[in-house]
Amino acid sequence: MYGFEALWFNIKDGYLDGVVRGHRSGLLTTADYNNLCQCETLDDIKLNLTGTDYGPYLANEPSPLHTTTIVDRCTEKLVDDWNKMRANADEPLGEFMDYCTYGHMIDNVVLIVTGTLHERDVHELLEKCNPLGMFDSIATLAVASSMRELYRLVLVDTPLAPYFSESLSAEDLDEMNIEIMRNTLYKAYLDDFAAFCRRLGGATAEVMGGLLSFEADRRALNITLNSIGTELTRDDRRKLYSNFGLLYPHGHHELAAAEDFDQIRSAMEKCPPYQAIFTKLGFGESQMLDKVLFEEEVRRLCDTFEQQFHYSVFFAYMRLREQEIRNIMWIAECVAQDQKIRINDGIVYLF
Amino acid sequence: MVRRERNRLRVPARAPAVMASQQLLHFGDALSRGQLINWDYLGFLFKQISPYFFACLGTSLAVGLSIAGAAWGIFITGSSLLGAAIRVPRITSKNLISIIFCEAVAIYGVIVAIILSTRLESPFVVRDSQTGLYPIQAMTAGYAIYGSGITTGWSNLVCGLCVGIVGSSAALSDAQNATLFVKILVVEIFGSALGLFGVIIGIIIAGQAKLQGTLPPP
Amino acid sequence: MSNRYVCVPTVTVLAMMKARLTGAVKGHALLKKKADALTLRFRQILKKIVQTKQEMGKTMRAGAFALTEAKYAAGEFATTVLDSVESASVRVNAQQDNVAGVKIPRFERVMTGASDTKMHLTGLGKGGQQVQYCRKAYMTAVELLVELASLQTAFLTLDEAIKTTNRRVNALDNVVIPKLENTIAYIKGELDELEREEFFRLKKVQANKRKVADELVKRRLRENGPTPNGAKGALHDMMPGVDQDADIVF
Repeated sequence: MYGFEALWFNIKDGYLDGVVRGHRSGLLTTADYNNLCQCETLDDIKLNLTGTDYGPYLANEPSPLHTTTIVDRCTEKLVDDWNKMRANADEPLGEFMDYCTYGHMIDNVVLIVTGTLHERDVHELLEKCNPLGMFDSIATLAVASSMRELYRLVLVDTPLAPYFSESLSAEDLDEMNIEIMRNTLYKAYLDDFAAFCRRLGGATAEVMGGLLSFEADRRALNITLNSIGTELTRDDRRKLYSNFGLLYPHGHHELAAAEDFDQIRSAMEKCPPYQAIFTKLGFGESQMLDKVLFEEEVRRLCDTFEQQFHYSVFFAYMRLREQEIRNIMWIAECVAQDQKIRINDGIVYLF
Repeated sequence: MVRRERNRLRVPARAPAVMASQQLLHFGDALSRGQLINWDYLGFLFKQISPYFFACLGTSLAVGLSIAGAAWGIFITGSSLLGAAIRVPRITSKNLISIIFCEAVAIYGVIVAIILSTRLESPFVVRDSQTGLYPIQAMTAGYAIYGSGITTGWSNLVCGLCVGIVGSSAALSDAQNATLFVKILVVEIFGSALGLFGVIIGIIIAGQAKLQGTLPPP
Repeated sequence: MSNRYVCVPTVTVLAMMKARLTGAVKGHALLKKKADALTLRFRQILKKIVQTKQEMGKTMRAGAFALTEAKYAAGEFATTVLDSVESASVRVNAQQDNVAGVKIPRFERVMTGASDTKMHLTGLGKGGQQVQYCRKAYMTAVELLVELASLQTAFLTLDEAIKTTNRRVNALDNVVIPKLENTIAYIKGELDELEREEFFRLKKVQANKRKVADELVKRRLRENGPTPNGAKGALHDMMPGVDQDADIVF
């Protein structure tokens, strides 16, 4: 029953709810970002970050710092927090948290598969994988030599198996462009995740439904925008759009037919929530679109914390941390490349 | 009959049985009268239930439901408090107030149960030999104690839930922003007043009831 | 005396040396012209290199920043890009340019159409625009790099050429021509001396001959007595045909 989660939510998940909200209070604020923007060198950045949650992870780095080191340490913190929470999680929270990481798992699988087909070393590839998306048998992906074998031997046991079978046939696996395969898998994943949340019901279904439909619509927008002028046909494009969201199904007809940015814009503006986004952009300008979308996503994610007794806070925490790490990477690169004028272009303030 | 008249110590129970069997003969006609449910019979059976049953049921519900409410509230608050206190240990001492409010609900239930149990004074409430019914005072007392117990029990149950949920949110928001706690405490105070209402009404209802009985005459 | 060629001081050798001298002088003039032309080109290239390097700095900076933006929007796309490349789409062609006789290489960027299509879909789900923008930024950087490379090789080659030419000019100027001139002066000196010797020998021989003739006249005079012609007669006897020529009276 929606509305009565308060009665039984805390039985299994109350503790982790408190923990994740504690982590959320450790996210960097506007004041922290202002301090970071004043830094002149990467060592200053490290000093500033040592006073925040990232302290223990960055404190022992030796002095000639590199931007990738900072980003790696911060990601390590996210991964540690996530794994601790996942270890303490009961069902169905555990399954929910796994669903949150399947996106990264898809990236890892695609990475290893293409790397193997191009005969790269397994360990090198494993180091480049996103740690949130690791699963046990990931190293065995390197064993297979063709996609078919890969599917038969390895992928069948992973949680990603249903995404492969329902959308891709055997021939597709061999010939498909890697990006198209990745996006097809992601579409299947989003559909599955949305169905799972609906099954959970209650506040989780409502809040996650909102977040996931924004994600699906955002992906549809990006796919359309990035496939203008490429070899991707309209039907292929259509196949990559998810089966839910505010734009489904009528918006998808229009998006599939769009050929330039203004047509996309007119298709998206028919949905009131997205109209607000597009008014922030000028005409014909599509460079800022990514940042505006990030801002909208962050706003929605922060709002999930206003409600209690649902699982979306975990998803939101993971996404907010990732955004924060992106911000830190941006600041570090601007400082390292001496481009501090542009530093405010990339920061999305969380609160 | 001659034998029965000689027996001095008449067991009163038999009379109602005879009564009952006689009346059964009356009730048996209901079917022939065309009714599906014999309401008269059911009413008769209901009135045969001892008022002690209802009184004790009320007492047990008073304490049981209150404690269920308190326990429910405590675990809701406690789990959130533990999770939030990992990061912000200072909230633990203040937020024990929420736990205490929940505990108070259990105490209300115990108090009311004690009061109700003092109303059960003597063991003998005797049935009338003619009608087989209990004296009206006893019946009223039994129902009153039952009502009082249910009132207190249910109101404390939901009060405990309310205080628990608000306490959980109080712990989490206190962890984020220390100034919020005192304001949310006001909400909790209003919440715990609900239990108090139940207790007051329960005591008032039970104030009239006295399950008193007399020993049967020798 | 040491700064000349060792040779036999004859007229033919003199002529030969003279010819060599004119050759050397002409060669010197031509090489000087070549050195000047090369130096001019050198300076032009230097200016262009400075310009191109500054532009290169700016372009690489912009490229690095575009990469940051792309990483921000699209996440880690490096491995995807690396794995979708099959063959190089940018190649370099080398050609030769001739500057005042010096062959300098020139590099040109050539786009083959390969593997362009797969690249367009990178970052399809997020950040694709930034990735394409980054790609363009680095394409301009590659163009500039190729230009800079050809300019720098030209710079180095020209440097070498100018050094050798100047060396030759200086050698001609300070070694060969003075040597030749000295040789010619020496030969001339020798020839003059030979001529003087000849002249002196001639004079000596003439003096001797006159002495011998005088002796003979004196002996004849002694032998023949005084001749009607007297001394003159003796002379006439000795030199018949002397009288026949009447004195020319003006």
